[in-house]
Amino acid sequence: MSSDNIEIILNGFKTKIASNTSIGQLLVLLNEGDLQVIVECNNQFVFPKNYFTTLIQDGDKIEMINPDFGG
Amino acid sequence: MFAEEELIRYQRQLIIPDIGEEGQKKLKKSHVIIAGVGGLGSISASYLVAAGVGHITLVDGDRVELTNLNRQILHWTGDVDKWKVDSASLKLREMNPYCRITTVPERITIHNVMDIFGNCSFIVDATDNFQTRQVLNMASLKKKIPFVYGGVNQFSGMITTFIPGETPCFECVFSKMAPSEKSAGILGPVPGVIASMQAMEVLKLILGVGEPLKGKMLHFSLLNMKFRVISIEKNPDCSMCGV
Repeated sequence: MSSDNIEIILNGFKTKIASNTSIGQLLVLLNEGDLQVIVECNNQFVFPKNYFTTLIQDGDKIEMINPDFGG
Repeated sequence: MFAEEELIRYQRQLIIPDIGEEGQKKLKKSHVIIAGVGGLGSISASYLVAAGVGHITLVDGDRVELTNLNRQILHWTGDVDKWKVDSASLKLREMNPYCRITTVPERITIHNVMDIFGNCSFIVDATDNFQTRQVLNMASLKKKIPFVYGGVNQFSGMITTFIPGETPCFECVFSKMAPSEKSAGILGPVPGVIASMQAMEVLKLILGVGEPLKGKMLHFSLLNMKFRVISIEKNPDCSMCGV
């Protein structure tokens, strides 16, 4: 792994991403930038307003969840 | 307060130390709104009625359709085209004649919600769309009563309990959403699990026992049996509950 990369667990899978990537940038990379998912980082909900200021750290566990609104 | 038959009916929960006759009285004095009598509401209403909640109000402006019957288990084949609230109340009254059931065959809107909810103490979200949940959230905040959110989609489900002044509200969590209006695929046991948990959340709140999902959202996939709890703080900038 290059020193510019970090390894995270993304939606249950080990994934390498560039260091200093924000959650907002990751959403854009994954084409999830339309805000139709909610994001949790290490079991903590991340508010959308913090997506671009929250930098992902090595070892972080990130889940992108499609909210459930059926009944 | 209880007929002899009720004491027999509730015997298996009366012997639980955290319930007893005092707890059963609290259940009997409670009034719970079930917003929606579909896949979620069929289950939550059944458990709350069976447990002896004294007053349940069922609100749903839809009639039973054939496509409902794979999961909405209070509605049966002969109920197609009936109001869902009528179909459900018939079975629920048979289930527990000591429970008062009020039916409202209307869609919940910002205009009628405060009248419909009256003096209820708890809101169970058993709706199938985002907009109605926003209305429930508004009513919950105005009335300062708990709102137990539950939602399902295919094999997954989510649940949390919003308590005004204490926890985040629906808007805190889902403020940026614009979900599709397309019908969600749903397999019956998924709303079964979520709605059972919603009923349990309400019972815990009434009884004052246990740890409700305050500031925590449970999300699961029944496809791979993965459950996870997400911590959620209040959003200080929330347009609905922020100061």
